[in-house]
Amino acid sequence: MDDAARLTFLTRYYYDLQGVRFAPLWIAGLLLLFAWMPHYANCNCIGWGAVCCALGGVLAIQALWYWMANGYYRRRFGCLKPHPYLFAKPKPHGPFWWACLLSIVVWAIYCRVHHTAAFIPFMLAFFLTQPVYNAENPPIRRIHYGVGAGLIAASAMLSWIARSDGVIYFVTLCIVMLALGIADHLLLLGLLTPAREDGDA
Amino acid sequence: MPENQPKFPGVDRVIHEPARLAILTVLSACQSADFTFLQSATGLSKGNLSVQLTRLDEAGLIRVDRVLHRKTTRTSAVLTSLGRRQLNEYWLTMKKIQEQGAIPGKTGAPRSLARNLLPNV
Repeated sequence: MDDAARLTFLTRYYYDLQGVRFAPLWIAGLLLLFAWMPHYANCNCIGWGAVCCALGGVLAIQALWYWMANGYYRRRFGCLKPHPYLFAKPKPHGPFWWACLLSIVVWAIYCRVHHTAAFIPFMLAFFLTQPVYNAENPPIRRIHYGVGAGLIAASAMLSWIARSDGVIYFVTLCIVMLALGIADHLLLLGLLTPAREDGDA
Repeated sequence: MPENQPKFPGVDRVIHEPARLAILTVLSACQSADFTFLQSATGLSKGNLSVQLTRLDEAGLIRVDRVLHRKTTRTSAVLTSLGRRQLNEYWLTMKKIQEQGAIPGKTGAPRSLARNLLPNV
């Protein structure tokens, strides 16, 4: 990636690359899952009140972290105003994206006909791993998201075949999304230009 | 100049300077960017970035806005329509130079001349 392409990509995807903003959501998801698992056999002992409190707490922590992370990125790397959505150059989707979307839609229709919701994990994986299909991303980011999408889809498939309760899928989703967020943050750091010694005119 | 020398089209010297080209490239991909982001993206020192912004502002290629916020001044820059047009023309000129620099008999141009003209910023 040459410098012009690097700077253009960095500017266009600056906010997408701030990956650690959603870290608490995935960490808390894992923690809640592991806290809930010992009581899984007897769901009634938890109660909806506790579940709602836990989810509310997670959302509150996430909102606080998001606000702090925004402040960190603004102070450390600055901020920019993207082009208005209607006038911005659309982020490109290749034929592979359309093929995947079509497959998901067909799969969803099939599942609705047979009264199952097996398509939801695949649809979620598809929408969470959009950078795979965008040719503007550097190859390393597409590989990261491709591997992540593969792992999430494989865990969904495994859960579906084994007719398990979805714990494998949920754990994989949380770990993969957390790792992808950290990888995006590291990519952002790598795309910035280090301060030059001969920086003065 | 001898007759057989290739005649490269002239390039805009204001844009051609690597630091200014980097600033314009960043601004062309967004609506506006603040001083800290331009500094992080280009790796320029505060003094150099300030000088280059002033130069681009004077040339009418960008507009620099300074807003007072909680006792500090926030500086942001916006690419003007003239700047966008000039930058597009600059890249077209670079493409022409690259095509003129292609070695006859070889497929495609040699290693991007435009890339060589844009050193690491």
